[in-house]
Amino acid sequence: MTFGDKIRELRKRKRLSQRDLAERVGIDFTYLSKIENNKVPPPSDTVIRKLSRELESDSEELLMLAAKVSQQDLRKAVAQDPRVGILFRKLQSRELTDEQLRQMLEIIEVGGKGNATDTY
Amino acid sequence: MPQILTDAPWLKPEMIEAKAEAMLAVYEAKFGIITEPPVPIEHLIEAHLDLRIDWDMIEDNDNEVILAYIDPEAKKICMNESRRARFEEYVGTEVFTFAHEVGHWDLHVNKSSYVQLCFLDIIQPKKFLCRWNIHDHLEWQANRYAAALIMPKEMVLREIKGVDIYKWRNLYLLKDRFGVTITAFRKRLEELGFIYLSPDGALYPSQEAYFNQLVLI
Repeated sequence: MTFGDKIRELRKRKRLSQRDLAERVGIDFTYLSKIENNKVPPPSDTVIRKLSRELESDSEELLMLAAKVSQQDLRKAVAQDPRVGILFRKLQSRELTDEQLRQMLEIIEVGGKGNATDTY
Repeated sequence: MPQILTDAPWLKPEMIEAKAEAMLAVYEAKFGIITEPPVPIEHLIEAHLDLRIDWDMIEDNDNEVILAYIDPEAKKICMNESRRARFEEYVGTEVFTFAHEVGHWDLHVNKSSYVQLCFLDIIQPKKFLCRWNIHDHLEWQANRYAAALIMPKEMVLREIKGVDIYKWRNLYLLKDRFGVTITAFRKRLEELGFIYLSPDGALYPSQEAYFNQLVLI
């Protein structure tokens, strides 16, 4: 499922028209239509979070669907700490179990509230 | 794959009315009775028919205005973004256009043909371009269907009860409730035989009533 499909599905579930939702989020309804029809890339993080609030959905799931980690972000993170690269490769090769992934996400979420560097 | 029926037969107005009524009945069975206007046409399109709504630029010109098209294969109604000013200036045009496309979907698209032969791609149009100023019998049918869908007879009867519909001011108030243009609403009342528009722009219960008052003058 694409980001656009997900937004459309959630909007339909809330019984909102494209105009209704676009107005609430503060974007043009024709832009929302293009997002839903996968004609433009997903919007900014801020808009995604607003969409998630209006649609009462998980913003992290929407951000993930929007693939909101750019190659540039990834390169930057690896340059800052090579272990990020190792972690990414392991994730790609699926060497981590579901439980390990869950634990890692938990650590990151807890760490995110304090000093991010402590989580490594 | 759904396909456009370019050889769709001529249909009597009563048949088109019945099709629109049936569409609403199925919608109401699924989502609840529509107790008052406006008919939630976008919800019907998206939630009931599972058609996508897509606003995008459609190339046209002033001699051939295209407000929208339906793409049966993609299950999508595409509204012409370049005609947005017209939709916004004439409030109600958008709703009628949506309903018109539903008319094509219900009357002119063969939804049961899931086997598509390759050569059909060449000879069959893939989209139903709805030209504002072109009126063949398919466009006429879609218009009639649209009127019946967003201004159902029973709902109109309920709304005009006790209202003097021979006064333009009241017609303007009513058309706002239905979310349509004054032209669409006036035409609908004419279609239903509730009013007659005289050549001088006045409203009468019938053509006969108009002629009778001419005799009296």
